[in-house]
Amino acid sequence: MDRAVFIIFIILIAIPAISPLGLPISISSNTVEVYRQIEDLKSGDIAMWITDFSVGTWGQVGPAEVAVYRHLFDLIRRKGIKVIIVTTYSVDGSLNAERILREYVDTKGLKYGEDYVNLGWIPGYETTLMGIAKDFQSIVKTDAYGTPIDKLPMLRNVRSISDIALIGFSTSTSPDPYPRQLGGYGKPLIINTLIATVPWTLPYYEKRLITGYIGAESDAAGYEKLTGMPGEGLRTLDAQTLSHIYGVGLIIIGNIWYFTRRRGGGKG
Amino acid sequence: MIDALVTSIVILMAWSFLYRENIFYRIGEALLVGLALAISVKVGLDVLFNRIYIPIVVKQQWLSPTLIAVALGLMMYTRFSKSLWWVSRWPIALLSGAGLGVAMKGAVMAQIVRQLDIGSLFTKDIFTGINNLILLVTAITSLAYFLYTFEHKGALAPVAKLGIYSMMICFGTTLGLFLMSNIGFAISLIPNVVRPPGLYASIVAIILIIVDNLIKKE
Repeated sequence: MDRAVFIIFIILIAIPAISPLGLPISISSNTVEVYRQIEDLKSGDIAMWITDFSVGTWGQVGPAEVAVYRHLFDLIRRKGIKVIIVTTYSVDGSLNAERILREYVDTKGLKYGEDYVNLGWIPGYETTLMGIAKDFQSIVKTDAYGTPIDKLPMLRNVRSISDIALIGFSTSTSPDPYPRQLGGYGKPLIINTLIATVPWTLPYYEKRLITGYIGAESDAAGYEKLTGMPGEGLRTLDAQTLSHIYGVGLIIIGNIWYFTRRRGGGKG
Repeated sequence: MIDALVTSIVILMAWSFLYRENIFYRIGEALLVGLALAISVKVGLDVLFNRIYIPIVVKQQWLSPTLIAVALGLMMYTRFSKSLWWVSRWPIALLSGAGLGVAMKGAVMAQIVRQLDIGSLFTKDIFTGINNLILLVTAITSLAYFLYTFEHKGALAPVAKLGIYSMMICFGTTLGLFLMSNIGFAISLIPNVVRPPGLYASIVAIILIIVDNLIKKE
């Protein structure tokens, strides 16, 4: 019986992967909120995105991360914003950032060091976050490729969080350090995380220490729809929807079976 | 093409554990651990090179504060010496102390002071008011459950019981969302094994399972 449950599950999620069903999607209000905050950046504004999620959680966090990167790089072209990419938690994040920049984002025509910069992994996690907020130049000495920051024009005037217009981060562990160190400065602080981490994020969101959140494929799909740049989120959403319908169905059937057997005098 | 094929083979190697323990799974496991370690060491060395070797050795900035960090880092390795292991306590103490200090400084405002403000129960939007009421009730009743200095009798008993239910709802939600996350991981990998070239690897895997079953029956 157990094997049948899993085999049906695998078949269900394989069908849309072979032939997309095009099930309707609704865009959540939190996704629209994140999109608006990023879209509202003005010419010359600096956005900093902290890619801290681990490689193993790509399936959940990666699609939305790609969607946000694409949006930010599109804004570099459309509005002339500047983007800083950095990792503070573990090596994984910098690998994800490199992968997105290499495989998913179109950087043609953009000037590295003037339009965007990749600072790579700066070890230290929470202490690094605090350093970035308080004294950027003392924490960041070189970019990911060893170039001193005084040779990167867009970073010359970045002294602290007050010179950054928007901060975003992706994490697959605790969201706590980010609002602790970067919240409360009156800057938009956005999180991209696992669906399981969303309840952990909500107390900060309610108090506006985190100003926006996106979690998992459904939000990734919504974000892709808003930006008009389809990606992994939209491609996997059919499977996600089918798996949830299947899960809900199993819960209902399981409960009906349980109570029917109990009424019939069985052990349930 | 090769990338996609290798990805799908490694996915199938990992998932083969669902069938049973086997050599392909063990190879996949060793591959993952080995690669993760190699990448971590490589990136770690890159960071050391860019942030320590270049400023201190190449640029000869000997009086840089980085040198203190290097010294503390090296002190960590005294742990391997039987006579000098106690030296490693200093960088660990500094690291824990600084980490705790930084975290606590931010925690007071973000995790204590701001969270105490539950908000009004009478708001324009009725749902916000209800939400705030739920927040107030669940916070107080959950805290009441942890009052161990009093026996949970009389008025405290139903309050503590409500606290248990509040926590059960919270744990249930968290567990459910973790399951959703894990399903999400599987879903994100499925396209790799049902579309060419991964599909060919899947067909080989299915044939291997059938053959293995036939051999076992014999």
